[in-house]
Amino acid sequence: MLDPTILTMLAINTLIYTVILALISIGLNMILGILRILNVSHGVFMAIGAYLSITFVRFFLSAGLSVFTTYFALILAGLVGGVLVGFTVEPIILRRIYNRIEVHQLLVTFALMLIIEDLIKFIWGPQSQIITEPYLYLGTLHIGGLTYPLYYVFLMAVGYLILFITYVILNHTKLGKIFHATAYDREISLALGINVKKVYTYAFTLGATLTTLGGALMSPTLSLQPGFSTEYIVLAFSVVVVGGLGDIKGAFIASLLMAFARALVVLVIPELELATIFLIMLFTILLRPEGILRGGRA
Amino acid sequence: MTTTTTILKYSLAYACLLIVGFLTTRHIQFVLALALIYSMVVIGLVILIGYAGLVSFGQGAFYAIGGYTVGLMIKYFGIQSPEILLILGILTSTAASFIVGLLCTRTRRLAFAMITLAFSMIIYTILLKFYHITGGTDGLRIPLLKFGGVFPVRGYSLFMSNEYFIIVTVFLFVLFLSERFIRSPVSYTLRAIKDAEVKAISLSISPAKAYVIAFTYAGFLAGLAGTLYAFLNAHIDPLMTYWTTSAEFVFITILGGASGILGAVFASILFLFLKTYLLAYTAYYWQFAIGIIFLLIILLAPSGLTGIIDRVIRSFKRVITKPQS
Repeated sequence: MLDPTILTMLAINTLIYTVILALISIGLNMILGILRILNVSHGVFMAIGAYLSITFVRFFLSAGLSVFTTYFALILAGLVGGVLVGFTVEPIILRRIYNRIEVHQLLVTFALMLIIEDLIKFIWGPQSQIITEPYLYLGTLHIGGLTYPLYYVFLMAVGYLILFITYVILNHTKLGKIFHATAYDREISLALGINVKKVYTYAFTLGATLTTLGGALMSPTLSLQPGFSTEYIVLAFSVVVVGGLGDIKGAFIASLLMAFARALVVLVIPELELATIFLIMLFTILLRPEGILRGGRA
Repeated sequence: MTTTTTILKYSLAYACLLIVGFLTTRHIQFVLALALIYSMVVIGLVILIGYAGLVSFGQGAFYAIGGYTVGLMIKYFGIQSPEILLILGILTSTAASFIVGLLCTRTRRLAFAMITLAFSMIIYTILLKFYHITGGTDGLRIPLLKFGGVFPVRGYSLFMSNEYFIIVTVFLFVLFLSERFIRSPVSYTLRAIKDAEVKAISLSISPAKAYVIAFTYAGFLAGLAGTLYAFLNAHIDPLMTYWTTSAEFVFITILGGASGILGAVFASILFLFLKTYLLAYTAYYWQFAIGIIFLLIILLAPSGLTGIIDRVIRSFKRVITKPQS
């Protein structure tokens, strides 16, 4: 069991999976913390990022640019997707349901998910889509007897950089302070002259962008099919619950924990790979409802 | 309400449903039967969401437990009698919902939605990954069973399809039981707790007990529905407990207004006919249409179909009574 090859594999799989989970769930958790809405359509935002990145990469390649530029295409697709989603969904739909009961909020975002899923099918077609150029261009990496596509190194580098930038924005800028204030007390923030409406739009856009970036970064490693994101949204739910509702730092730690648990269980009992994640979620709600760092709303 | 009028009311409902079966094609009977199965799950959710204020996002779990009890009992124990399978399906799903209810009802609001979701996803991944036992994504096929050894669960013998007849009969029993449940002390207790939990506790009401009873009853209905679904559809798969199925149930509940049994039944019928015909005419895009319809209903008429019907009736009454006043 303590074979160095297996340990390396465990470590690398954990790191890759952590960044993916963190990109989806931190955005989800920010929206939950600030807007007080659990966004069921968050998974499909990831699909938007992924599908847009396919279009962007194909456009870059057909324009005669080298494969090297497609990496910028991926990031650009994620940013464009996030801004597109953020500045349409929040002002048009979410703004109308802030005062509604929770189940209405959940279902409005669920309806949104159904609508966007079909829009994706309408634009990109129901068949599965794949781009391999960015993935194959980088070749492979050999560590300790294992062969990994070097693309994962790019994914991790960009992914962790995005997470670091988010950390800086949230903790060391004025915008971040405003986000914290609004999440903590909406009324007082309003009284202090914060434009809460605008804050909601920005926070939602930032949260959506993290997810679309995650989708764009993952798209070269996947064969995209309509509905592939329905699995990721429940994984993101479980991370958010384990990290504590609204607790961003907790969500990152929870991503790490979930990724490790999954990588470990895959090696021992592969059948329980996903069940483990939901079991951890179940026990967290029962034993520590405020999340792993005790930083969330119970 | 006296016993005579109750008997009359249910006989009338039964007769109406059977006449509808007599007049319609087998395809429409299939959709209606499925709608009645859905409405059984939804009635459970009306009690949970509308009366207890607990939003279960994992009702698909009990639906699947009912269905898979049938499938696995046939596959591994060779039980061929639908009566026994029906009872077993009800027993396992009720037992499961009682145990899950004991755990889940310690939480409220979003945490409750998430814990029920987690539970249903655990069942889903187990059904999916232990494919050598459960058939994985392919699911299980249910052979043609016969009630009492003579009356097949699927077929065409009584001027209407057997499955429609069976499901209508069971549905009427569910209707009777659920009306009793809604008028029972437990239901009033639930409403008291929903309005003011602390006050209810101070009046020596036990929220835990009432919640567990409501959750178990909803799980019983979902399990019964899952068992019937296995009979009707002849095939079950793990999607029965996927989170989108559970969300669909909640969706129909809110569409109906989450306030009564009739709203649940009409919302289920509307949803399934919309789904069937949109699927037939638009191929890939039925979710888009359903999503738009739902967005409009929830944004413009938050009390769902019941609210819309109420409003129509009220304005109608106003028109009628105008000349007199």
